[in-house]
Amino acid sequence: MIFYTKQQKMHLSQISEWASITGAALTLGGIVLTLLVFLGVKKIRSYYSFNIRMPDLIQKLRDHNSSLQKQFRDFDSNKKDIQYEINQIIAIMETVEHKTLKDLRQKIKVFLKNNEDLTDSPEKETAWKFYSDTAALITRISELVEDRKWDYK
Amino acid sequence: MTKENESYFEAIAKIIKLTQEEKIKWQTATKKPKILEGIEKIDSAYTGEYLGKTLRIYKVYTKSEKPYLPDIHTSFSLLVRPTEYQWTYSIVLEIIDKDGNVMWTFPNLNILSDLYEEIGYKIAGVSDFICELLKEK
Repeated sequence: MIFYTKQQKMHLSQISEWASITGAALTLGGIVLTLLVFLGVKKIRSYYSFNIRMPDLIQKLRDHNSSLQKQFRDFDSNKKDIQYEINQIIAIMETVEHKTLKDLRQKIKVFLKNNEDLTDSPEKETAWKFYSDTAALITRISELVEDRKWDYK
Repeated sequence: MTKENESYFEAIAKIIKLTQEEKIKWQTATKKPKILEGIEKIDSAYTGEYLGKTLRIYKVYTKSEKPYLPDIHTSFSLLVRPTEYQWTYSIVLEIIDKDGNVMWTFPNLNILSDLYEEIGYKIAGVSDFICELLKEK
């Protein structure tokens, strides 16, 4: 059995106090570091999902919008195809909305809201408006992708 | 992108619509656009009239130096690398006077490709050709 003097006991309690404070500080530091790594990974993930996925989505939007315009040549006979292309564009825009930046996200939201009822047999004029609005939005998205290309370089 | 630019999209969409409805009749341009020899090449150019204005559209190929991204294997040959060129194209839509001089050029927007394709489709008479072809026994 080991016996400590009063002074030794005080010294030991001081050491244990310091050890516990250091331990707590290290734990806190670990949590902060984990958070920073988590945020960093999230940022890198969003960068890659934006810069790698977006050009492909933009190309798909362009293809569907061009195809939509071609279906207008015989509007009444191609109503089903027109509806299909509109649905495709809306679905891709919804994907783009989650991947893009705040100000553009707002514009896409407005676009989707404006065209909420369009999926059910659209009128000719409304469909043309949808076509030109989509073309304008595609240009906005492409410009943003070009700008962000240099963010991490 | 400005509000003005957004109205260009609507305007070009309207020109595509008028082309489909044959309210604007396009023909192969007699007065060709001026180009920089050796650097630019013109594909088919078309003109059409609407609201007293003459529109001209064409595809222009432009020669430019190919961007070079050296990697570890090729960086040693950087000094002796011959210059490589590439041809990229854009569609130009402009308003011209009776002598073919450019009065104003529309901004270069992706929607112009659809207009150019639509005009080609009309001028080539693709729709009638397919109808005739399918009728033939």
